[in-house]
Amino acid sequence: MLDYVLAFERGGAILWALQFTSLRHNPLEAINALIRGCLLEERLGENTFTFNPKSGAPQTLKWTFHNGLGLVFVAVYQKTLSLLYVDELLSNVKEEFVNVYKPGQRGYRQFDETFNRLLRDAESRADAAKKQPVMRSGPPANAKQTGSQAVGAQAKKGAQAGKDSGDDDASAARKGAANGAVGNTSDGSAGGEDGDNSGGEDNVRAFDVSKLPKGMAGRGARGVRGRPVPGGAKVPDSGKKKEDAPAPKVKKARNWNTLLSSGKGDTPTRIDYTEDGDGPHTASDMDLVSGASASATEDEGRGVGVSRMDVEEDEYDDSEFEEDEELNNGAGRAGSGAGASGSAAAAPKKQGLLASFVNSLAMNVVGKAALSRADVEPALAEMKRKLMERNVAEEIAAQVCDSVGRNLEGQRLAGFTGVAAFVRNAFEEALSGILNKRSVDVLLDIKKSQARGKPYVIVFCGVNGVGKSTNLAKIAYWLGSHNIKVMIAACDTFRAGAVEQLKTHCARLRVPLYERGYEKDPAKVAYEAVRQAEKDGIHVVLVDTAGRMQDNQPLMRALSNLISLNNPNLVLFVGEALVGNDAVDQLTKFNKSLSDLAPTTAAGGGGGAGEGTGAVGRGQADGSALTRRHGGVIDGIVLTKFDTIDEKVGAALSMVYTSGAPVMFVGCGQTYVDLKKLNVKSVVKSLLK
Amino acid sequence: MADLSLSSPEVQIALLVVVATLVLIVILKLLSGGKRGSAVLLVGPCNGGKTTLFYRLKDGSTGLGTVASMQENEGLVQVRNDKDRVVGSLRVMDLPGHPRLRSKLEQYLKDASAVVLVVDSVELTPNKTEAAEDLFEVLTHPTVARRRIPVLLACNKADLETQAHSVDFCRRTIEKQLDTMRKTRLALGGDAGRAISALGKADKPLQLAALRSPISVGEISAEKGEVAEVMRFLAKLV
Repeated sequence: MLDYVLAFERGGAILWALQFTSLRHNPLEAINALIRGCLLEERLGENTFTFNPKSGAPQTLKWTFHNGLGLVFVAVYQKTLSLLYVDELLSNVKEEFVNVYKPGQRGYRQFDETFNRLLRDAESRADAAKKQPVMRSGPPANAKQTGSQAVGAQAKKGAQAGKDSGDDDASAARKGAANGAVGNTSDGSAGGEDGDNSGGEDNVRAFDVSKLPKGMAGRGARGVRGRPVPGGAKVPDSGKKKEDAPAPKVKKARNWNTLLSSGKGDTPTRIDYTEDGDGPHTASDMDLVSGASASATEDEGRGVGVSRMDVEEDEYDDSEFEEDEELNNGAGRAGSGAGASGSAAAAPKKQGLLASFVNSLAMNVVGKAALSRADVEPALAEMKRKLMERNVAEEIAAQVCDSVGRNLEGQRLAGFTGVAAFVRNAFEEALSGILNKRSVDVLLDIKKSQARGKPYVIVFCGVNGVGKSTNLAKIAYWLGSHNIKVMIAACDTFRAGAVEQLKTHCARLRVPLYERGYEKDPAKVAYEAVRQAEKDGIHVVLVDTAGRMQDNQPLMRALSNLISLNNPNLVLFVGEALVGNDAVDQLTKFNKSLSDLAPTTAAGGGGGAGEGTGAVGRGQADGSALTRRHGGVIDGIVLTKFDTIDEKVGAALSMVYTSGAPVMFVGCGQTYVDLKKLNVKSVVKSLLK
Repeated sequence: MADLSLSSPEVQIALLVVVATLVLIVILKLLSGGKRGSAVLLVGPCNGGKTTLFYRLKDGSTGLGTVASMQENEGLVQVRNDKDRVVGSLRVMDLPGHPRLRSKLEQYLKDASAVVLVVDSVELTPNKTEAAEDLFEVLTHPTVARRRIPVLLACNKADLETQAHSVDFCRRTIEKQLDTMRKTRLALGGDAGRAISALGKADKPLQLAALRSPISVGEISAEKGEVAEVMRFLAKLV
């Protein structure tokens, strides 16, 4: 039944292993994939992992931690089997193993017997549980069994199905006892998973979305932002701009020529109208023109300044942070002292006051007691609230808190740290780990493809109005300042004014533009642009695409077609920092659609496989090879409009967690120099403040 | 003002408090395990064999095998010289290779006494970028550059003779990668430029032997126990 069971340390040494069936592939491959793909990615909330070996059937892996000793227990079995007892078995194994564990010893032959005994017990208990309901409530149970088996067959994961049928039986049996009629119980048998769904559907039907007034329907279906309905008219952003311009007739048109080196035009006036005046983050025209920038040689032609990508950010001021830390710690310790004693007193009321005081003292001062889930709950809830306040998507905040909680369970506090401070440290590490992704060194890769003689193709995709064209121009400027020849391909052939917008940018940046006007197939335009670039010896081609909603299937298919036809070196998803919960949805759907809807190639066969074989050097998606794609097509994220948020930087976390791709560029303004790298330390600090 | 002589009770109490505080601080420091000694770091890309090498050095055996490390391993290694006599013991630290745990490298480099970069000589080419990045980060770290910490490039898995690349090939591949990286990072200017001076002048092709920190190269097989090169490297540090 089980293929393989393993106990190992977090440091990597295997303590004990037992193999039941001979497998064609090395069983450790599955374990390594689990570690790299799931355990290290703070996805501890999920409790199963599926591994697809190159030869053989897919396997399911289940695991459990012993955080106090730093041990991990994993059970591997065939995905097609639905074994109900694995979770229980793993926790029993954990308890038994702790009794024999000696730090530093590897190889516990004597544990094999204990394990076999536990396995037999667990199997027999599972069989008994399956047989019991049949004997208790006769005929209705049979109907229930078939009904719930049908439900079970529909369920996606095999293991889950086993669990749900078990639940169905239990809940149906309860309902049967209450009502005592076959008709009712057969209705109830649709309970469990299906029941929840139908219940949910009923709720939705009762609240008929189509009956709402038109505008509200769009908002209801879409979310707070109220974006246009997919497939419907794409509201052109330029249209809105045109409305504003002619209305105030006395308004003097801004003369953009002041930004060019010639210096013709009016004296630049103040642009920043926020309350504090010209903020430090928006450079005024005056500064740019007067050449306050560092390297004068490169900008003489442009006169705009050094791109902020190349300016080293002020090293994050540690002293300032420590002051805050102390204040927080002081408050935290006082709070945690109260919190710990509060929770210790609230939960087990039997413990006397003295016992609870000693308990909290033990934890805070001496650091002997192991943390339980109840101890960290209040701190976790506080952290989750804080994260959501900072614009992290709700499900991401929940998942991160859950996984940090699992990591903390069973750990011992170091002496003199309060629970809150300990939890906060754990969060800091977790968040830094999530955001600190290995980023592609774009300049290095460009040099490599230069050597090969092929242009480096970057595709920008995203939903409407996030700033693709603006940030594309900024990146073109940055690359140009490194003496890289850039060409822009105008593959937004839908939106009115898109090509003209890029023409303006190209005129100012002095880069060639490849465009074929409107109403052309973007994929073909991109293809021809790359061929033209190769002929002209251009190093980088930046491909601008039209904004599209993540739900819009035909448009996602078109984008996927563009990507598979042109095989770009880098696919960048442009997302704005203002987005809230929609970030998760956008990224998952983009990743999923782009890989699912890829056109099948002759060599490929399946959608995903076609994408894989068609794309050279794209890496495997099973987590074993260090791939730029964490199971998706998107290689990197461009986070735009970062200057509009002060501390609500949570969108960065949501996007990185969902897609696994690093944030490669951050757009922080509307001029060419406003492009920088993500400063992980300051983002984590803002999230935890 | 009261008479501040040593016999007055206030002064005595004050002194007592000060002494008690100092004693408490010292005790706490010792208790918190402040082993601020120097350590030898094992770094490198995923799946290179760092943890295997760690256990081979520490215990002399690889036990039941290893899986991908999620956390660092720390231990004392008995250093033997060529005549197989124990000459000393060193603290060795095995850092995980997964990129998510990469930030630990910078943290531990602060008190490193030597670095061993373990690379997989069979799968060198797919991992050469990360190996070079690790080496880059090590060499441009201010502490390493300042103290001229010795580095050993250990090409592991030499037991797979036909599939494993030669030591020379590994060295040249890493050199080339570092060279390209140096050029691109130098172009970015700013603080990065100063650190890169540790990698030598940009106009000459990079030679590992010619850098400020002495870098040696060797081939080992942690699996089979042929770790003489590493032992020799460690013996020089004792």
